Amino acid sequence: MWEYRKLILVKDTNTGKETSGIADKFMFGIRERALEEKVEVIRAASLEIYNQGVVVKILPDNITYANVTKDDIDLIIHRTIEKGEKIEALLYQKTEKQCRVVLRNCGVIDPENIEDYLARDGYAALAKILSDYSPEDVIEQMKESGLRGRGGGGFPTWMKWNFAKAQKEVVKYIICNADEGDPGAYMDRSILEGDPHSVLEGMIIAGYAVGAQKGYLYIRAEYPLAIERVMLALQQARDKGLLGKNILGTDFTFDLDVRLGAGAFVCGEETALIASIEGKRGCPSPRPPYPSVNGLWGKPTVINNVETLANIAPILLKGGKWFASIGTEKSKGTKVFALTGKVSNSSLIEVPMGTTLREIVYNIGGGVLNNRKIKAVQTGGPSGGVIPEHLLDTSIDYENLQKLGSIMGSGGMIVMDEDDCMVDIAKFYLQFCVDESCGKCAPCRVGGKQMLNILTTISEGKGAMEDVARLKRISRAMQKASLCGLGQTAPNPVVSTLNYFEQEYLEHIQNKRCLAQKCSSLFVYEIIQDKCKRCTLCQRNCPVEAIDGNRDIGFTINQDKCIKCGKCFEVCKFEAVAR
Amino acid sequence: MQHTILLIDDDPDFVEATQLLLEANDYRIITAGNGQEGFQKVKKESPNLIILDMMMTYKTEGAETAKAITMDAAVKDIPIIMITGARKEFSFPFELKPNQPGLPVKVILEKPVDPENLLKTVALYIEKRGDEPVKKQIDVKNLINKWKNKEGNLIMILHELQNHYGYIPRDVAFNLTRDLEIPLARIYEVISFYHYFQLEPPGKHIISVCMGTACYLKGAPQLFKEIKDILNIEEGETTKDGLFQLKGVRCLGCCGLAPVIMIDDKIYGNLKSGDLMEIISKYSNEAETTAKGGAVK
Repeated sequence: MWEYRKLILVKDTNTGKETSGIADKFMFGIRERALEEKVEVIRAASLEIYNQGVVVKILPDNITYANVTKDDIDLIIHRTIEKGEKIEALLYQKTEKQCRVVLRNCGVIDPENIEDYLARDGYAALAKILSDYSPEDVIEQMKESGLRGRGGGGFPTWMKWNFAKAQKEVVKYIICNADEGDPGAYMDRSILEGDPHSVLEGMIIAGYAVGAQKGYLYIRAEYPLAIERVMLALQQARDKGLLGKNILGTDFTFDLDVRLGAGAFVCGEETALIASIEGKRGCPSPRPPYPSVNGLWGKPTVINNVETLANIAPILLKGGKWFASIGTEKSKGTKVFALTGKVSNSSLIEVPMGTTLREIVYNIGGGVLNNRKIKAVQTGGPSGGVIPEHLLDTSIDYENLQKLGSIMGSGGMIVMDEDDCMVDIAKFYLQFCVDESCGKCAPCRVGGKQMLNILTTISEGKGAMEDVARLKRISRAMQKASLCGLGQTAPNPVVSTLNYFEQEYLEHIQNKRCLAQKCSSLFVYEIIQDKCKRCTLCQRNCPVEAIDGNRDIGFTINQDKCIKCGKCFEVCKFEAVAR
Repeated sequence: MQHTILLIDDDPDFVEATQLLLEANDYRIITAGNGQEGFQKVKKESPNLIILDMMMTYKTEGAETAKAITMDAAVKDIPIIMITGARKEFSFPFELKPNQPGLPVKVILEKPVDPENLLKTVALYIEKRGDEPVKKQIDVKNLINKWKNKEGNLIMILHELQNHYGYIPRDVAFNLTRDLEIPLARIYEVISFYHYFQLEPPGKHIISVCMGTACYLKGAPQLFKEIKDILNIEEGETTKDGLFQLKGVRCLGCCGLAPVIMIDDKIYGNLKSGDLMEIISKYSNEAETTAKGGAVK
C-alpha cells in the first residue's frame, strides 16, 4: 500500500488549526520540482508536539522540524527531500520515550481516508476474529489482556462484555461514550479526530463479542470536527462492507449511528448517557440493574469509553498476552493523559501504566513552567484529587491513585505550582460539580451547594475552625449517599486538598491569608512609602475613597473602607502598591 | 418597512419613469445624475439597492462606479443592478456579463426595461439580503421528518433546530409538540436541562471564554472579568446592539494554549490582560463599517 516514497506531515502546533498556507506551499514546491509522484503532503491532526510553531515531519526518514516558516520550505524540499540531508538548525529536540498503542495512528494517518487506516493494519483484527474466533474466544483474549475501562472507573472490560453476552435478550447495544466533559482533558477528542476508524473497529468487535446488532457513538456537540470525521468514517466503513449487513461476507450484521450530547457533564455517567440517547434529560438512575443487563431501551447494553475501544483492535491483533506484558500487575497497557497546567510542554501523552508522575512531569513535560517549584499534580478532573510533590514518585495505576485519594479518571493531568491556592482549586472543581449536578438526588444537589458555601466563606477570610470538620462530614455523606458517580466523587477535590494541604485551609481561616495570592478577598493592599512618587493616581482611581492623604504627607490605604478591588494595584506605575 | 433604492442615470426621462414605477411599489427612491454624485450618495445614504446606468458622461462610467462601490468596505455588499442600452456597443474593454471583476454587478438588464421584470429583479435582490421566513418553515418540516420515526429523536431534532435558527424559538417548540405529539413540558425540560440549547437569539459574535482547569490556573478568571468590563455584560448575556454574546465554557480542548478564548470559530490563545481590547475592537469596528453599508433593518 505504501506507494509514496516520502510523506511530509504538516501541523501548526500553536493554534491547532489547519496550516493551509504552509502545506499548500509545500505542495506547490513539490509540484514545481515534479516530485508529486514520490512525495505526498498531509495535514496532520496531531504530532504530539505543542507550542513549536509549524511542525513538519518527514517520513520514513523520521526527521522533525519545528518552528518552520514559509521561507524554510524551499530549503527543506531541496536539502531534505531531494538530498536526504538534515537541517540541524530546524530540528525539533525530542526528549522522551512514550509508548503508543491507543495513539498509534494519530497524526500519522489521514483520518479522513480509510485507506490510510487499512494500510496500518486497520480492520485486520476484525477480519481475524470474524474468520477465526468465536465470541467466547474474543472475550477470553480480552480477559487475558487485563484491559480495564479508561473512562475513569477501571472496571475490567471483558467482564462488562461477558455480562451483556450472558443475557438472553436478542437485541443488544454497544455505546461509545465520547462525552468527554472533564475540564482540561481532550484525549477522546484527539482519538476521534485523529483516528476515528480505530474506535469504530473496537465497537464492531465488541458487537461481535456480545451479540449486538446496533451501536451508538455519543459525542459531545462541542466537538464538531470529531463528529464530522466520525460520520465520514462511518460512511467509508459502510462502503467497504465493514459495517452494515453481512460484514466481510459473514452473517454478522452490525451498524453504528451518532448521537450528540448537549453539554451536560453528568451524561458521562452511563445511566444518564442512556437517558440522553433516549432523548430525555440526562438524569442517572440507580444501579443495579446495570446497563449490561437493562440498558438502552431496556436492552442489555455495553458502554465503553473512546480510549478503551481504541485499545481493542491491537489487543486482538497481537494477542491479550502482548497487551498484558505492558504495564503493572493489576493495570495493564498504556494510558493517555492530557498533560496541562503549569508545565513546560502541555501535550497529549501516552505512557505505560506504572510510569511515575515525576517522570511524566519532568521527562516528558519538560518540568514546571518558568522553573517554579511544583506544588501538586491533579488527576481525574472534578472527580479526582491532588497528589502533592512528595508523592510524585508513585507509579501510576488504578489502585495507587485511589490509595492517594485521587483517581485515574479519564486522563486529565494538571500540574500546579506554588502560585496555585488549594482552597481556590477545590472551590473551582466543586463549583463545576454544583453547576453540573442534575438535581435528582439530595446529597449531591444540597451537599455540593453547602460545601461550596463553606469554601467561599473560607476563601473570603470569614471561615471558622468548625468549617473543616463540617466539610469532611458533608463529604462523607455525599460519597456514601449520592446516586451516581458525579455526586459520589464531587467531594474528592476537597477531601484530597484537605488531606494534603490542611495547613493552607487553616492559614485562610486563622490568619486570613492566602499565601498563593489567589483569594482576592484576602489581599491587604498597602502603599510602600519608599516607592511612592505621590502621583495621586491611586487616590483618583479608588472607587470608595479609601486612600487617605495628599501630596505633601503621602498616602495610606484605609483598610476599613477598602473593598479590595485591586484598582490601586493595577494603576500604580511605580509598583508602590503591595498586596 | 420601506427599502431605499438609489437610481444612478443621466437620462432624466428614464429616471422619472423608473422613479414613478418604484415609488408606486412602496420603495423610497433617491437619484443621482452621474457616477461621482452616485458614489457620494451611496456612501451617505447606504441604500438597500443600486440601479446603475452603464454609459453616462463617458462610456464606461457605470462600470467604474460599480468597481468603486465594491472596493469600499463600508458599502461593498449593496447589490447593484446594471441597466444599459449598450447592446450594440461592442467596444467595451470587457464582456458585458454580471458578477465579474471588471463589472461587479449582480445582474444586467437591457434597455428598454420591461417594468414587471425590473420590479421582480428589484424584489429578488432586496429579499435576498433580508430574512426568508417562508423558506425556513419548509426546511424545518424536512428536518423533523428526517428524524420523526427514529427512537429518542428529540435531542437530535433540537440540535438541528438550533443549528438552523441559532436558538430554539418558542413558536418552533410549540409546533414541535404537534409534529411529534409530545407535551411542551417534555420539550422544555430537555431544552432547559442541557447547557447547549439556547432559548434566546444568540449575539452576532459569540465569545467563549474557556474556564477549563488549565485556563483557570493561567488566568482565565481575570480575562473573563476584563471582557465583562469591556462589553459591560454578564456571563450568558448579549450586548445591547446584539453584537457580542459572552459565554463561559468548560473546555475548548486547547489546553496547550491556555488561557484561550474563542470568538465564533476562531481561537485566540496565550492571552494576556490587555490583549482583549484589541481583539474585540477588531470585531466591533468591522461591524460598524458594515452597518454604515446599510444592512436591512
